[in-house]
Amino acid sequence: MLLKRLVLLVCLAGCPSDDELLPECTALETDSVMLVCSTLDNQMSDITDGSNVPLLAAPQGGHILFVGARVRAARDCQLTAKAALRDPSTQRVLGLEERPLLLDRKSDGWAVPRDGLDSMPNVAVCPSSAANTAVYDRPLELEITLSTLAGTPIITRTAQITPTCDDDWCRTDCAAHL
Amino acid sequence: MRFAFAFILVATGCPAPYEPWLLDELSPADGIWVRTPEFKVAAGQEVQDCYFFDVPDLAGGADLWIDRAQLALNAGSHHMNVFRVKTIVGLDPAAGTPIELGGVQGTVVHGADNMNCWKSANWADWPLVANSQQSTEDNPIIDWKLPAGVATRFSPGEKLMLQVHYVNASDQVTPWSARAGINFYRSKDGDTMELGTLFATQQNIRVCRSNPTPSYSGTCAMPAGTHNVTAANGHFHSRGTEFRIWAWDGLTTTRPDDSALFYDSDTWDEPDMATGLDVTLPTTGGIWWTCDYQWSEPAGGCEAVDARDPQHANDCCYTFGPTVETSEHCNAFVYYYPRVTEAVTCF
Repeated sequence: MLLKRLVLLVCLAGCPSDDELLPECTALETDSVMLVCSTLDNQMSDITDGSNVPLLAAPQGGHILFVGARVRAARDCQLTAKAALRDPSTQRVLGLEERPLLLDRKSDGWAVPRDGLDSMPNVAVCPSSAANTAVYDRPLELEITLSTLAGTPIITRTAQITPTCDDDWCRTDCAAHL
Repeated sequence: MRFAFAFILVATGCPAPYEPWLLDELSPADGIWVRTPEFKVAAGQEVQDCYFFDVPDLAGGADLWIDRAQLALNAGSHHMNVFRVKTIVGLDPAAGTPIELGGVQGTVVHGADNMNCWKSANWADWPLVANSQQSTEDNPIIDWKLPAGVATRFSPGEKLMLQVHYVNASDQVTPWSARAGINFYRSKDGDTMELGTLFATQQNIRVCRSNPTPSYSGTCAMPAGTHNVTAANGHFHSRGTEFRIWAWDGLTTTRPDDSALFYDSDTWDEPDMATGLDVTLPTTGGIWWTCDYQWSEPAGGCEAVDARDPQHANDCCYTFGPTVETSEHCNAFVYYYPRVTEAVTCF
């Protein structure tokens, strides 16, 4: 009882109201989802089979793929996004991350990931102990699953992509691990 | 008797006496001992210091095998981490101040003077050696014995960093002075299987008023082979509600079921250091780990939290960072054997 009262008091003092919460995106159709990647300066582009996707130097070390999805939506909203990079030659997953996908609706009816590195998955793939050949300049399989906030999968999309490096540091970090 | 004495002191308005922890000072035949000086942590402050020292030559130039570690902290510590120093980026041991560290000599870079002691990118390729987050008054020492046949291997002259973080604010308090100590005990029974470490961290986390219960998951693959996990712990700050680590097969993209769960902690400030584990990871696998959060209003208001939000969203968002009061972490520490690579890191 005391704990409930304490929670109530804390909530009265600082809990966000429903109006302040970013709502969940509503029903998605297959043609209302497009995979995307972005750069450190928020230059977003669509991902299709054959796309090059840049490996980005992450602020805390290593190199990541910064990938997610844009969706048709009626308002700003969020989903859960899980992104994984798989090496088809070994079937091993080189990196996987799941996090909130935070979307801002634009005037064209698409809700796109917000600016900044925290709005969609940061898939840490370099270094990866699962990589027995370099992670860059070869085709790999990207798999992205969108789920409800409760974790129920909604849609999974895959694409053959080629991660790319812009500098020697990236090529060293993303070389074969063993 | 101790409790009775403490009761009398409290009843009379006196603070309970502080009984400092004691570790043995080790002879060269027994191992390496390290002690930081005592230091004060002012109210409202966080202190992070980076101590550097070389592994002494205790065996005529031969490597040292360590099969037991004692890690001690005065109450109030947020963490102590030990890393092997590799690439020097911004945190340079040579830039530190010479300091006596008990059984070794070293240098110290104070985070208050040099922000590089706070920036994790500076030790991104420094392999983890050991860590502790246990600093309660009643239980200030982790006494960690490795499995039979397993030991940590040091080379004489190898440089190590002991990083110590103390907090004396609203989320954690340091009631007395701060201090850390380590004893690394030399193996005397011919251990030959080397302990390996895995350090994994979630990048760019965000816990906001408008999105108060986010969850972050990641995977960290091991090199192919058979690896046995013997110890693990997780690390986040006060918005963290549950930290879980599973054995993962390295192939599937769905979270392992709970039969593979080997670490689960709902304690952010003194999380369990799980030792004595006996978890064999799948041969092409690794770990899957998840951090769950619950946003809460900062004790001092949102101004400091908003100020460090790179998105300037004014949404009272805790973002990735080392300060307990204003930022969040999601770090996994896993200890396995046999070691197959210098370090497994995922970030």
